[in-house]
Amino acid sequence: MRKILQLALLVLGWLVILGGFLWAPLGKGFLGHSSRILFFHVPMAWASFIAFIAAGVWSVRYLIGRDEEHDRSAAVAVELGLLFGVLATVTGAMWARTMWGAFWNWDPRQVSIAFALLFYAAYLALRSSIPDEEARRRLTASYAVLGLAIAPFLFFIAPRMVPTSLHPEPVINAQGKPAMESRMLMVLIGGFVWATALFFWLHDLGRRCARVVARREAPPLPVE
Amino acid sequence: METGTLTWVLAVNLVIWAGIFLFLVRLDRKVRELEKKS
Repeated sequence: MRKILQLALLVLGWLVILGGFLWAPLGKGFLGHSSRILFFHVPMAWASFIAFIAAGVWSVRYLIGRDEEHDRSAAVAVELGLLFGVLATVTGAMWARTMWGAFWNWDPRQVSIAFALLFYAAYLALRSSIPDEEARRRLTASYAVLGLAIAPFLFFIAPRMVPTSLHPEPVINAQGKPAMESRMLMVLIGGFVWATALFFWLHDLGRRCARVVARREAPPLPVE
Repeated sequence: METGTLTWVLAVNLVIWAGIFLFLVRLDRKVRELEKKS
């Protein structure tokens, strides 16, 4: 079953890339082929958001049950959220260079994702700065729970509060409808599924690696 | 962008994704072996 799912992810990735480059039409109002980056940039930002929310949920579960596995899951989710967030920022900057003439324009969307990345980078800094394991888990979990309010605000609310943004209209427009051609939408939805599945696979790998490392570093049980 | 350039970018993207995928599959296998040992 695992192999079938992995193979499906490989094929889905190829389909999204092929669809994005060959099948989907060019976006109206975009320079050249710059709209094609949308199929990779938006799913990366989505996976980043999913990761930060998942980190918050696992942190709540840790605070309730004090299960180390939930703490590890939260930490891995934050690391992956940062990875996807950086990829979203870099692809967005590449697009901005073509459309706006500069990689960084202090657009509300660029600033809000930069704040989100700094917020979660601070999570990792906090995690590495507390030597006591129990205190570290408790404090970082509380911090990630705070992120449950911060992440939706920075990803969805803050960029919409500034009317001067040059960023294109979101996928779902103000009327609650997807504002793009149907083939573009299909490739984009495929991209969302691909990025989400990739996040969960990477998360599973990261969590299992962390568990193996924790077992190896644990002091040996006393011999009777 | 010329069609030839677009095809190159497409091919590079396909190969990069295949490479990442193979790396992850191998990593998955290695982690499973380590889990069995520990």
